[in-house]
Amino acid sequence: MNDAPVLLQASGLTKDFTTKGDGAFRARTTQFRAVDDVGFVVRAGETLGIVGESGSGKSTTARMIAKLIEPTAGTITFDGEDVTAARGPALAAFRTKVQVVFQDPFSSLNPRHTVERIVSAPLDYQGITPKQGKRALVRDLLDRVGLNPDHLQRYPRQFSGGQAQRIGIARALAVSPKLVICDEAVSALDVSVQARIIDLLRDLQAERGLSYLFIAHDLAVVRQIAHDVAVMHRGKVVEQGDREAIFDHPQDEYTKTLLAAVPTIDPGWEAARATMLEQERTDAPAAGRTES
Amino acid sequence: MSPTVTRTISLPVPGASLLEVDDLTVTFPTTAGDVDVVRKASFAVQHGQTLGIVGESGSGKSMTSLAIMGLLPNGGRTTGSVRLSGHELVGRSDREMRRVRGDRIAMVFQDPLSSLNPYYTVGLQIEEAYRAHRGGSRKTARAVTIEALERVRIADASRRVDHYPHQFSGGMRQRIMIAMALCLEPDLLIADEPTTALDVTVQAQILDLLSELQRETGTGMIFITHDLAVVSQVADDVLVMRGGDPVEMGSAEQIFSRPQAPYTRSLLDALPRIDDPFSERPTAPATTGEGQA
Repeated sequence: MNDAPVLLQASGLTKDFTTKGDGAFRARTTQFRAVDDVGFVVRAGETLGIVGESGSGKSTTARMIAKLIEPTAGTITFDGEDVTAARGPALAAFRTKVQVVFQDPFSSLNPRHTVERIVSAPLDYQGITPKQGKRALVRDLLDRVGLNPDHLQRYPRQFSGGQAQRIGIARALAVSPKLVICDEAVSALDVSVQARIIDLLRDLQAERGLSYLFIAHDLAVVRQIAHDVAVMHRGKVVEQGDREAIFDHPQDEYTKTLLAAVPTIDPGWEAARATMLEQERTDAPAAGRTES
Repeated sequence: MSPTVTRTISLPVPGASLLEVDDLTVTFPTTAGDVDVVRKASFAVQHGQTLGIVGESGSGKSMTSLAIMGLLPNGGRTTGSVRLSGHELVGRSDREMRRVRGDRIAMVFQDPLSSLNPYYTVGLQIEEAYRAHRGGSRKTARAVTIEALERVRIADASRRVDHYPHQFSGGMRQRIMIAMALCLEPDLLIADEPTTALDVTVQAQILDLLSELQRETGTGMIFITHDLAVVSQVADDVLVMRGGDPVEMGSAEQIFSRPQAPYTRSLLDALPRIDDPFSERPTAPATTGEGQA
């Protein structure tokens, strides 16, 4: 069993949205339960993946955890404290420990602000002055996420999609959070870029003991990064467990359907490719070591 | 109306493939000079077969399909040769290409909602597409439309034909786009990321539908996607593109089991595997993708 301490616990999380009618239908309001009695834990230094299709409630859940919207019912406990109704200083303290990386880097980075201003914004909001000075910290962060620290004065549009997402990650790290919520953070990226961003997220986790709440619709990506997985469907968690349990021995019918729908390459072709690459390595041992 | 054009393009040249593309180059003028967004792409599509074109953003895969259709935006120029059943399409007038599009080559795009007019019923939109090419009475067009909706497995088609796009789910809308594309029984269907915007369970249904329809009709297909796993499932042949260059072409089996080009190999290495989490995925070489993403 897992004995890493619990960092975040959500229990009974529920979110209702009310839609009001217009004109003659003014009196007609309908309630829609987007998230229904959802509970999970995120352990320190680990990743909880939440997977689901559109409308499953996974992003609404992420937004409640980030305290961007209020839950209708349920509690959120972070680091042993109930933060469900946190306001004022308690909420400010929470924001220094929990940060978010969004799906579309270009719409979540202000196009009129320089990289320096974007990455240091969370420090300004929280009134934090880093010991080494703000600029030095931003340079360190850019360097750490694989960007050139000399690009401080550039604007988001001067970067590619993958680089812009690295800026978003640097911004999330500025206040040294314990938990980073990644809401479809790699979904908009090309596959080779995606692989390198996932590598970066895993390296940062190993270095800093970060926890991730990793929301994604792509099950293969979640399998690359999550320790535990919760599967959502129509507002409910239908199944959760450690990665192997969910992917190798799914119990719930919906989880099985979801896994079966993921397109895969013919295993015979994959095996043949592995054999070919192995053969090439043994045939030309020197060629295999061209890159360090 | 130009019946001669339709006839000359309709009658296949004996021995010709359904579609033959040779040295297709697409050029756009910019203030800094001409830029080739596709360079010397060559491939062929046979009746009843699917060619998958796979690549990352900026690879030129969508521009290739737009060039085949004669739909390049803002001053884009096509050179090389595109032959449909042996007839050259490059250099034909807009009027001639309008007869080819829809009738002989149809296209399905990524986002069905932006391809459908929200103010008209789906039936009216399919009827319009049909009558623009075949004429005939509204009654005939409506019968064809209902039949097309039934073929893409829309339940209760005779009632649903009078519904508006917003009354359908994303997967159903994509079925409607496929119905519209197939109601004229084209020889070639170009599907540009047709399942990218869909949930994975819906994607599986649409992929099944496309392959069933292809078996029924013998339509040739070009399937454009960034998703290697999807292309491995639908394509007979695969063309890998990168930054406008054709990188590697072969049967799906050859591309996925014996990839030759380093770029194809790095793409396959970068693909997250749902069935194999433990083998450490090698980091894709820094030469791929991110600089131009």
